[in-house]
Amino acid sequence: MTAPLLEVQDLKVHYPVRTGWLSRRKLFVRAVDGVSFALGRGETLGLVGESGCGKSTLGNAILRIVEPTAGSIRFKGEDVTAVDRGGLHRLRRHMQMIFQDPYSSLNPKLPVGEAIGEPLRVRGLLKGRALAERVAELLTLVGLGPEHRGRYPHEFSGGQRQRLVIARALALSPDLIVCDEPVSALDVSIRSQILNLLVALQQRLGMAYVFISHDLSVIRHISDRVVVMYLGHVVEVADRDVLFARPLHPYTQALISAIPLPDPQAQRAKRRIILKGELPSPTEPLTGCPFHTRCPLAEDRCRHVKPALERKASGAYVACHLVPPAAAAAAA
Amino acid sequence: MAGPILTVADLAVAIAGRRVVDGISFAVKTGETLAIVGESGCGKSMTAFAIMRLLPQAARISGGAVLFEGRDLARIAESEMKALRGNRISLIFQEPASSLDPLMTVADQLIEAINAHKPASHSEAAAHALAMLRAVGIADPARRMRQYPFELSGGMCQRVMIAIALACRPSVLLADEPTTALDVTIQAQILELMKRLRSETGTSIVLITHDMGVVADMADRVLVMYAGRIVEEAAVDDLFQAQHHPYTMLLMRSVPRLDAPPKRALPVIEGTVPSYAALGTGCRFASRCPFVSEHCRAEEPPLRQIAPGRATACWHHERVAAAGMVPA
Ligand SMILES: Nc1ncnc2c1ncn2[C@@H]1O[C@H](COP(=O)(O)OP(=O)(O)O)[C@@H](O)[C@H]1O
Ligand SMILES: Nc1ncnc2c1ncn2[C@@H]1O[C@H](COP(=O)(O)OP(=O)(O)O)[C@@H](O)[C@H]1O
Ligand code: SF4
Ligand SMILES: [Mg+2]
Ligand SMILES: [Mg+2]
Repeated sequence: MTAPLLEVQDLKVHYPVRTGWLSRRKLFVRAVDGVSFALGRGETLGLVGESGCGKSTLGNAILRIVEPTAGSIRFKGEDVTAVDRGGLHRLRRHMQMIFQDPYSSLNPKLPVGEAIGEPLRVRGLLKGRALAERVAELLTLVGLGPEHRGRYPHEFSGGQRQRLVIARALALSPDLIVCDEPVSALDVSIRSQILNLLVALQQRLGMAYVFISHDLSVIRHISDRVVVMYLGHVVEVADRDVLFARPLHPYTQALISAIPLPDPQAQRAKRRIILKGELPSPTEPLTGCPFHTRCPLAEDRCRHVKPALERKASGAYVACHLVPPAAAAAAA
Repeated sequence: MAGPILTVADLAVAIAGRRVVDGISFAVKTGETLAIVGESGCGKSMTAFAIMRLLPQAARISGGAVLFEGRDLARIAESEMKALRGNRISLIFQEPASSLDPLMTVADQLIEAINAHKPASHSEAAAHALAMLRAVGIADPARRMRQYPFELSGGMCQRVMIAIALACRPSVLLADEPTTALDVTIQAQILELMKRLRSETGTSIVLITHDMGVVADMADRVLVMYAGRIVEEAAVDDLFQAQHHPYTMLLMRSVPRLDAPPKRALPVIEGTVPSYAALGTGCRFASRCPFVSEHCRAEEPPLRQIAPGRATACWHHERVAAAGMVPA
């Protein structure tokens, strides 16, 4: 097997929080607390979980937009967490990011053609006619057409702006694009256009995506492999079809069962798991399984011993005491 | 089934001369849940605000009637409306945090809502408030009573909103995207809560949403809105079985589904909702419609009944429904 494009190991990002200004007690939000996964070239890794579980922090840490507290991120064999500024600048040529809000991602005073060509110009890679041609090509790639290059962001609709942001992210022909909720702010009819575009671009250009979303239907549609996060931890990692056909972690099962199906008969007939309560405070120190306060199956050991992420018979990696390990399952 | 509790007749709402709600009619039966679906900007919220007489300053009801408990809400005095609002008919919004008063405790907001319509001693009102919080599934309600909205999560704020909206046992609850801002696990909790309260109190619900899954989970009947008009109306099972308007069909098919092949190109609705200024003579969906013909561009299709309880505003609805039978 060839080396993965991206390999994240035991990554932690803890944000210090002040607890009132006389307090000496130092608290941390453990936004990402020991996350590991790998991503191959041209693949899409879906990152899913409820808001506040650490998806954006993880996405930002991959590009070192936030500084990791511990762990390593290997991208094309180099440790992103260890390189100096120059090294980071070099690596970032190959990794790009797309955010949820296309409005704030574009400079309102810059014609969109210039915004899209900016990464190429700033790095001195192209200029003059070659730059103009590349911008025209990028605009065409995202389905807008070169005639739009002189217009300003406010002249575009939300869906068109997300296309512009995608065009800019493609300018340097990256190997990896981290997409942080890229369709969440868009209307349903526009959402499908952007999803289709992202899938088509990947098939054509071969870059990998880390695709962040809280929407499991979107995650299933776009991903090859899926990481389910809860409270800064990975609770399950599996190939898409394995995860959706046979979710093993009780949290994954609850998440999937909570999606209302757009089919009244199936929805009425379906078995539902309604989780009680909400996410615990991320500053509270955790004992046992991060999910134990809401888990319908929690036992005593779940409250005291943190389950390790282990490989199961289906090939999925699951962090739950109650799911038998691969060997035991095979023996049974 | 009992007769309608709320009847909206040819309602129109104008903003700076634009009819953002353009002559819509529907009736809500007692105990029924009616869903209103459509993309953003199609006039769903303005419809709810018009019924509640809570329109933003720029907007006004420019025609039609809202018949509720023997009165026309579009015409009664504000003082009369005030006595009904939050009492006989209530509204909950998408943004729970911003619709609560940030400077008042949960208890004070609930007690104020109760006292506005059913004056009681402070201790009676407080007991009722506590019971309401318990009824909407808030854990440790006595502690929550003393808290301010910023101390609560989005899901908890929405529960408090529902407690306030239902404190006086209204006969109609309008819910404008009540779970859109929430995570799916919290959405599932809130939808279960609404179902339970509906079966306990018999309250009719008008549920505004853009999520076809929420429609399938909650609704008895569905209205599909597009550019200020109702384009399709049907019982929920009938609507999912066959769509008689291309907009409904595309709205349903363009979302990724858990039971469809992944990565396959999703059907899309080309273009965007036309601006109200640009509306011409023909069908409002014509510029985006895959079934469009000359007739569509020349003449706007009226909303016509095509079967009992079923209506559509499309010249080619039979062709559309037949096309829908072929899996996309
Ligand atoms: N800059 C920050 N400082 C302190 N806490 C933060 C910061 N950014 C995010 N957090 C906290 O870290 C946790 C994870 O947040 P985030 O990564 O944004 O989650 P998600 O994207 O899954 O919603 C949350 O509890 C959030 O409040
Ligand atoms: N406060 C306002 N002032 C001016 N126009 C508004 C206001 N609120 C909504 N509109 C316009 O009214 C139309 C209908 O909006 P709305 O009812 O909020 O749509 P929906 O709830 O279906 O998303 C839209 O074109 C919107 O731009
Ligand atoms: S009337 Fe014509 S344009 Fe309008 S929805 Fe039907 S087929 Fe499409
Ligand atoms: Mg996020
Ligand atoms: Mg609205």
